[in-house]
Amino acid sequence: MAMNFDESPSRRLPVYLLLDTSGSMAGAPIVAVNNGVGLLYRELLNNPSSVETVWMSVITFAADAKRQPLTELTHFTPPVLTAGGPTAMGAALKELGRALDTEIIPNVPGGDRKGDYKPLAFLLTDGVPTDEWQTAAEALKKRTVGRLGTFVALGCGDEVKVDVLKAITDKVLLMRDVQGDTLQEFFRWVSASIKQASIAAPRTGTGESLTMMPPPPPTIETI
Amino acid sequence: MAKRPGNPVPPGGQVPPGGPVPPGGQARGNAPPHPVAAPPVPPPLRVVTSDNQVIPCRPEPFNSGSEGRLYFTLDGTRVVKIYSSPEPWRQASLEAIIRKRTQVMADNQAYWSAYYCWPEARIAQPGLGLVMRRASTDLRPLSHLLSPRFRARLKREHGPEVVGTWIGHVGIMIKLARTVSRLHNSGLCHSDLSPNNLLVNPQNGMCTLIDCDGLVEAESTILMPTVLGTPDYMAPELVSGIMPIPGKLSPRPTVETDLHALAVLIYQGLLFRHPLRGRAIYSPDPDEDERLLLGERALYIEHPIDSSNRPRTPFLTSAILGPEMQELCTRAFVDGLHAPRKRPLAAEWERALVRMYDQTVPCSNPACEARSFVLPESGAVTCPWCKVEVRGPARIPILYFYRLRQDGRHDSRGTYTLDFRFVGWHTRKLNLWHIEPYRMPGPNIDATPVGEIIWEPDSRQSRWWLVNRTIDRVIDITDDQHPVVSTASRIELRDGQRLKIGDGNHSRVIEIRLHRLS
Repeated sequence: MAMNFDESPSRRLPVYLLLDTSGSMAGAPIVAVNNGVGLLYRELLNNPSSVETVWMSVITFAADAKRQPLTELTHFTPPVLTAGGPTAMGAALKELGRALDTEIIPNVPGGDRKGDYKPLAFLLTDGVPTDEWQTAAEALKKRTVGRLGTFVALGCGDEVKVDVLKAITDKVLLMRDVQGDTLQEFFRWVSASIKQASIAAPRTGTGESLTMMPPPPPTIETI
Repeated sequence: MAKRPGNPVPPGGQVPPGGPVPPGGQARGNAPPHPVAAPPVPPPLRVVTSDNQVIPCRPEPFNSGSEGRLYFTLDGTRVVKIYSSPEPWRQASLEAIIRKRTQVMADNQAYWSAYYCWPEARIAQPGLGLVMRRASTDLRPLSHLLSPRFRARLKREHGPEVVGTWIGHVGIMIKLARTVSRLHNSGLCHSDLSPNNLLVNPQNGMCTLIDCDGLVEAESTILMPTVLGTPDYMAPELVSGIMPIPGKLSPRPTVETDLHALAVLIYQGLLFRHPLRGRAIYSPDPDEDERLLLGERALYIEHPIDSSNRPRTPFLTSAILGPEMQELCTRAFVDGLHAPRKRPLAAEWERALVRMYDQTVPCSNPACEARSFVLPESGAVTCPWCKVEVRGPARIPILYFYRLRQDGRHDSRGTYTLDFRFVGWHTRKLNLWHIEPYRMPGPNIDATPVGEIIWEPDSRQSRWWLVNRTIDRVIDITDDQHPVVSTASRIELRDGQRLKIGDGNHSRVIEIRLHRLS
């Protein structure tokens, strides 16, 4: 009776959000993050190609790291985050590694089903790790299987240490002045990065490289 | 960015006293002691065209894309786009596109303007931009209808009729082919034909092409490509060209790359599946795999010889669209996939789709989502979508339309050649484009029906009639008397009957076959 849709499992796009819920995020920041995740979820839900492909997981970190399993977008519920405790960023990175080990379907030529797109990860923090993070960060960089397609770290406020974020990924963004609006813009940008969009044509003479990511909003500095 | 009323965090980024703010609500802690006046309505955005017309717009954009922001005019009838960082060439290209509009729509502007949201004037203030018609509000992006999950949600939220029927999709594809054909005949290509750039109504078959500020003209140094396209709809030569080879000119969007996108859209729009996404996997790296399966190694899921990309589960093939459409699909995805010049033209798709439309019959199953299908030439008459056998008259008339052979020869095959097949169904109309050879529905033809097929269930046997409303000369040439079927009269249709329409070079012969349904 249905319209004979292609029912074979389509390629999934795994998206991991690593969110700082330490004590320093209490108050307006954690509210802004909650709103931001909600906005991201709604934006993706309104985009047919995301609805078909995106799978989400939220890893929060404070005293330790908590991970929601990777969930199909239509079954995903944005969590209500509360803030409190130290900044166990190392534990969160380790959880991400574990997720990439166990949750990613590899693309195997001759295999039974299409493997996942390269996973995307977005880390948001306003502080410095209070646990050992170097080992997990190194392990993420050295991965060959289940390698991240893109890993963006957004540092918020003045407490953030850029070198720490730089040691985790080379795509570091900085938001000095954290407000609800600017954080919403960040999540809107995350959504635009996830959505499949038209590919820009290179103009002759400019020599610009093709990139799949839109430029971040002006309120965010690229380091 | 301007603050919106109701924003939870006050300016300055201060945490409001009193702790967390409820999501989406007003700050609790600093609520004023007396009721607040409604927030002041921001003044309209003042937009000025290059010829100094002032167009007031709503102050907040309704959409912010990578190229710019989109605003509704205050009266809500038009859309203004302001580029966020206009490139130096943008102004000249915009002016050229605005001039092209008159040329493309020259023969019937009232008709064509519904098919495009085409830039109408250049905006000079507050920045470089354009103003265009706002698409009808009952349209939605085609992408919403092609995603099974999104479709399910639309039905849940707005009722099942919102996704329309299959025949609505056929109507959309006919109009899409016509729209693209018109562009191509004017020497332009769209360069980003995708389900996001088509606003459609599957209930009435309307289709409007948007994002027309990136039109490309071959050889032009003004109308240069700004986008290569959307991956699933990019021609293989463009996908392979994303990674430019040093010293080699990378391919740019052309009429031929548009024709690939059009073919994919038609295939997807009618069969709900991507013609190149089967089971084949070419690389362990998913990005590379995508590049290969849409580019260099692209392989039709229905390839007649190489079956390595067939979907794992049984699927409906283009065969259910009838032989003419099936052949065009083969030309697009086998012969023309890696040979751009061999791809079917938009006008060929339009013709085949119109002919296909004439061969559809309604499904007898009221719960069928498609509601109609193409009557197969032979075999059991079962709806391919819901698998329910068709119920209805025991026999239905098939009208074979012949036209005079162009070479004027008369040999063993006769003077007439078969033009198309038309499936008679109760109340199905005949139009000028059926009666007059070499005509097609479109802007310059009267769409008033000239005849109609009528079924009359009878106590003993049901009868089929052709009602002649305004067809000039209809003669039953099977009958020795050659009786004339005058206008506003009718003739019963019989198996093997031949009707002659018109005279001379534009005459036609219709042969009637009564086809057994059950």
